[in-house]
Order: sequence, then structure tokens, then C-alpha cells
Amino acid sequence: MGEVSFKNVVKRFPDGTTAVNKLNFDVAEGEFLVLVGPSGCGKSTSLRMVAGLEEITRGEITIDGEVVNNLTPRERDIAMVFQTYALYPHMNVEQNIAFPLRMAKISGDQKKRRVAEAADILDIADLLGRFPRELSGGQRQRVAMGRAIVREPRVFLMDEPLSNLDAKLRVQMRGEISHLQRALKTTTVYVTHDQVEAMTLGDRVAVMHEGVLQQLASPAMLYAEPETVFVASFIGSPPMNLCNAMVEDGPDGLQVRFGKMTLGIDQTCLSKFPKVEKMAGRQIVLGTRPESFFMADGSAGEASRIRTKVDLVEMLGAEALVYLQSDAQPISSASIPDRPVAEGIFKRSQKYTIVARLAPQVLPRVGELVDLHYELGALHFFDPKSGKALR
Amino acid sequence: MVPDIQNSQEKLARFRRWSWFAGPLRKIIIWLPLTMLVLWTLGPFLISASVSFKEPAHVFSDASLIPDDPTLNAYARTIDRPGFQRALWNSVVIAFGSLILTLVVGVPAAYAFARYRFRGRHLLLMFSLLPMLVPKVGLMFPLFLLAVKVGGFDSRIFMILVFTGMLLPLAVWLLVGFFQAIPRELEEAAAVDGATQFAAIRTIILPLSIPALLTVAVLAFREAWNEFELVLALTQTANSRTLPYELYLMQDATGLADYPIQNAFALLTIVPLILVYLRIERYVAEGLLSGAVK
Ligand SMILES: Nc1ncnc2c1ncn2[C@@H]1O[C@H](COP(=O)(O)OP(=O)(O)O)[C@@H](O)[C@H]1O
Ligand SMILES: [Mg+2]
Repeated sequence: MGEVSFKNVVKRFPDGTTAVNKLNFDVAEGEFLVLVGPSGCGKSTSLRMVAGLEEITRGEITIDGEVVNNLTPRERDIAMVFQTYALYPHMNVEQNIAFPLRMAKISGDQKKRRVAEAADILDIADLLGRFPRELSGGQRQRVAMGRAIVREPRVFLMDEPLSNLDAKLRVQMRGEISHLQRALKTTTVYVTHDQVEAMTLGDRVAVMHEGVLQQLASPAMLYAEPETVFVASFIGSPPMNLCNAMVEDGPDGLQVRFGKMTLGIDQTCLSKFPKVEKMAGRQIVLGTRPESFFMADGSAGEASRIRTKVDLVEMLGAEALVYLQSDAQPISSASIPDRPVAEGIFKRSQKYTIVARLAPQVLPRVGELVDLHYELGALHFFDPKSGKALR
Repeated sequence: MVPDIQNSQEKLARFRRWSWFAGPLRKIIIWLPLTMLVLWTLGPFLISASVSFKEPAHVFSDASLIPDDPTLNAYARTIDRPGFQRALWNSVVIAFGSLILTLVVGVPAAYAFARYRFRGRHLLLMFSLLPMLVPKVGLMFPLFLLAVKVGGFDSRIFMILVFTGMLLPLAVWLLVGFFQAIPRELEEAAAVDGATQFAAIRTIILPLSIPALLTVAVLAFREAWNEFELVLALTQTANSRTLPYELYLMQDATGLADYPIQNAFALLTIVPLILVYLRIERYVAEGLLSGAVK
């Protein structure tokens, strides 16, 4: 119970905005799928189309194989948690949670029992008599969850349910939602703009950008094998360094030159990015992960070594961010000509730098020339025109 | 650091001294206009009440505000008048009828204006407000002709329809604003929770709108209860006359000016209104919406 499919779903608003463009994906039964992307990329619209709160312009959405395009929200048997919680202000917690049961004409002992169960699961049994205005943000969040689970719907839809909580509570509730979903095994589609939330919660994560699905994969895959420049720049914190680079035939085979620095392209790289083989002499977009840089010791080979000056060091405690001078032009997904793959996520400065995340034990000083080792298997190559990975 | 703290403490002390001196003066500034306002509005009312408890013969001989030997005589005579009883009943029927019909028509209309975008919505809303701008006197004759034509002259039902027409603009106007202020998400949540649109209106919108509904109800009731010109134009017999008209007639009917009974009548006319106001104020003040969405 609870398979959701998007088939070529398009949403165009009356004002001409295309909020969602040819969305295609399936959510498996019991899966926790996260829709992530920057604000305005069409996440909420997609979710609301599943709920029946927004008409589907073209394409189909099915739940358990049944096309739901023309069903009212009531007929879809889904539950939704809103960003603002949307608790009914004139009803107390018990009445709020019982509301879906009341609408389903379930009453008496059964209603009481199920409300009590839901309240128990969410640890709000002692709040049943209170009104929403008498609750803290976290408690309201729980009540909203309670209202969603009490009816045992086919699918949970959650639209940024944690974004109104403070950072600490957000982490706690994130854990609880994860637990709850695993216990209930109810198919869940969860929307967030926060990539950390997406990566920690999702069985699979769908990255959206300007109404277009960029990649749908497990968190590990998204991180290890981003399919587009946008995904590469969106997932990971700090995000991947992306810059203009050139593939060259070097003395020891293929190498990639970015500004004055070069790194070798080894066999592992080529097996991951076979198209790079034929790119010698061509421009590409190179991606390097901050956490794949290490201070070079004697053993590191020449091909995986770069030397540059340190611009800035940010000590974060368990790790440090080291900003390295670079004269290679940085790329944001906005510099990719073929839309839709856009927006300057990380055009943070005009100074050309590459960020490395290093262990804090042996840190270089600002202005110092350092030798760094890069894990060559973690190089990423993208087509500069389409923004797609050169696989 | 230290001089700074001293400085600010001094400032605080100076402020306290200043405000202590300003205290009595401020009280006068606040209370004087309030007292005048209360006297201004309550004065005629008190005089009226005073006269209503006197014997007709004593109205001028006993000029004090508190009568020397107060009597309920005037009230008893008022209540005994068949004209008063009929008129009271007519007033009740017409006022409640108009109030209920105003809500029955106004709520769905306001909801549609608040929630749906349809062609001509704006124009229609403006149009529905137009009657508020037309002076009532200008409507008396056309309505009279209409009443005669459709056989609605001297009929309570026709008056209820007319009053509802007069009341709807204000009702719709108030309710549209109120409905729009209710977050759409509450209805969406209700829809997802399995409510039909009708159920969502009944269980979410209406309970949340109680302050607005009561405000509309009170205003409608008052308008219908106090209406005079249209009653004058549209009624002829005691079958449909309301209290204000009856009061007007009584001034002639009593021949010699019987001030106590006139004032007793007037006070009895407004007592129901005051009772309604007192009952309802509490609800209107209640901030039901707080905590809806943070
Ligand atoms: N009712 C609407 N009318 C017109 N445009 C809308 C409407 N709702 C959303 N949009 C537009 O659709 C796009 C996607 O919106 P939304 O799905 O809310 O984004 P997200 O939830 O990812 O932040 C945005 O550009 C937004 O401005
Ligand atoms: Mg959104």
C-alpha cells in the first residue's frame, strides 16, 4: 500500500510560471523519499499535486496504480504535515488529532483509543486538553504529526515540517521522524530545502532544480556520483569545488589542468568517467571535494599532488576549512549555458579559491605555500555545456 | 563601564521623579475627556429614564433627576397597550428574520468572494456594496411602488427581504475581510484530513468566524430593530408595524403629551438591544485566531 508515481507531470500556473516540468519518478511502498532543492524549485507544488491541493496541468500521478488526477484530497487517503502545521486553532490537541477520524465518521471507543495511541507514540498524551496557542513550536509539530498518523493513511506528505523549529529541536525531531517512519513503514514523501536533512532522512533523495528533477538516488550515490553540476554544487557542505579546467595529454598519460595546477587522471577515474578519455585538449568542468584533500606527506605521488598558497583558514574544531589560492575560474551551475541547470549557489566571492577540509592537527598558516594530496578517485568531470557528468 | 552604569541609573531615577510628578496630571488628561464623553452620551438617557419613572403630572413639578416617588406606572401602561405588544412581536420577527436571512445569504456570498477568483469578482463585490451609498429616503418611494406591485405592502416578509437587502453589503464586506484572514492552509489541512468543502466550512471556517458572525448579527439586528423610514413607507396597519413606528404614532395618539409613557416606551425599545450587546461583547473580544499558524 502506498506506491506513488509521477508520470510526465507538468504544473503550469495561470500566470505562466512552469513550477514543475516533466517530473518522472516512483516512490516505492514504505519508502522514505525526500524532495530537496532550493526555494522555488517546485517541491511544494509537486507535493501538493499528490495531495490534491493543486491541479495537475499535464501528466499523471498514481497512488497504488490508480490515477488520482481527478480525485479530491479526501478520496486519496493521504495525510499531510504543513510547514506551518495548520493546527485548528479552535480545537484542543485531542480534537485536532481526532479530526481525521471524525471526518471518517469513526467515533466512540475506537476514536478514543486511536487518538490515545497516536498521542502516546508522539509523547503528547499530557497535552490533549491544550489548545494550539498554548503549545511550543516542537509540541505543535508533534500534534501535526499525530493528526497525520492517526488515520493510518497510505502516504505521508510532509512539507518542510521542521523549518520553523530552532536548530537543536530540528535535529531532535529529525531523528524522531526517522524513527517513526521506520516503525510505521508508511510511504513518505518529504520536502525540504536543507540538504543535510535530505541526506539524513531519505532512503532516496530527489534533487530538484527549476521544476526539473536533477537526480534521484540514495544519499551515498548522490554524494559519490552527482549527475549534474547542480547536484554537485548542492550536496555536501562545504559544496564541491567546481572550476574550469582542461584535459591534457601529460608525460604520464591524461591529466587535468586547472589554472596553474594539474592532477593526474588515473584508471579509476577513467572507469568512472569514460568520456573523459576522448576529451584531451578540451574544456571541462572539474569538481573536487573539499574532504578529499590531505596534507601531503612524502609518500604521495607527483600526479596527486598540488602546491599552492593558503588564503584563509577557518578552524571549526574537529576540522578546518582551508581556502587555497587558485587561478582557475570557478563555475557555478549558473555558468552552464544549457538550462535548466542554474542559479549561483556558491558564487560566494570573486577571489578564486578552492576549499579543502583538513584535519586540525597540522594546519598550514595563512600565506604559507602548502603541498596537498588529492584522492584522485574523487575527481569529478562535467560537460561545460550541458552540465552533465562525463560518464 | 562604571561611570556608564551610574549615568544610566541617574537617568532612570530622574525619569521616575518626572513620571511621579506627571502622574496626577496624566490621570486628569486621561479621565477628563472620558468623563465628558460618558456624560454626553449617558445624559439624555438618564433624563429619559428619570422621566419614565414619574407620574405625568410630576414631570415638570419634580425636576430632580431622581424622582421623589418613583413609579412603574408608565411601564405598566406601556406594556398593557395592545399596540406595544403587537409592535414588539413584529419587531422581534422582523429583526430576527432579517438577521438570519442576512447570515444565510451573506456567509456563502462572502466565502465565495474570499476564496474563489472568478470573472467579474471585483466588479461584483463593488456592485454589492453600492446600496450602502444610496440614501434610504431615496429608496422609500421605489420600494413602496414595488411593494404594492408584488403584493408585499404591509407584509413582514417583504420587510425582512428589504432589510436583508439593506444589510447584506455591510455583512458581506465584513465577512469577506474576515474569511480572507483565515489561513487557506487550515482548509487545505481539513481537505487532506478527509473533510468535504462543506464540512471544512462548517467545522473550521464558521467556528473561527464566530466573532465576525456575531458582529454582523448584532449590527443586522440593530439596523432592523431601529429602522423607521422604511417601516413608515412599507406598512399601514398594526399587523406589521414595528416599535419605532409605534412610538412615533403614540406621540399623536396620547393627545396631551404623556412624557412618562413615551420615555418608558422608548427605553423598553432599546433594552433588548442593550442586553444583546452585553451578551456578545465578550465573544467578539476573544482572540480565537491566535495560535492558528505561527
Ligand atoms: N499559486 C501560484 N501561482 C503562481 N506561481 C506559483 C504559485 N505557487 C507557486 N508558484 C511558483 O512556482 C514555483 C515553485 O513554487 P514552490 O513549489 O512553492 O517551490 P518550493 O516549495 O520548492 O520552494 C515558484 O517559482 C513559485 O513562485
Ligand atoms: Mg515550499
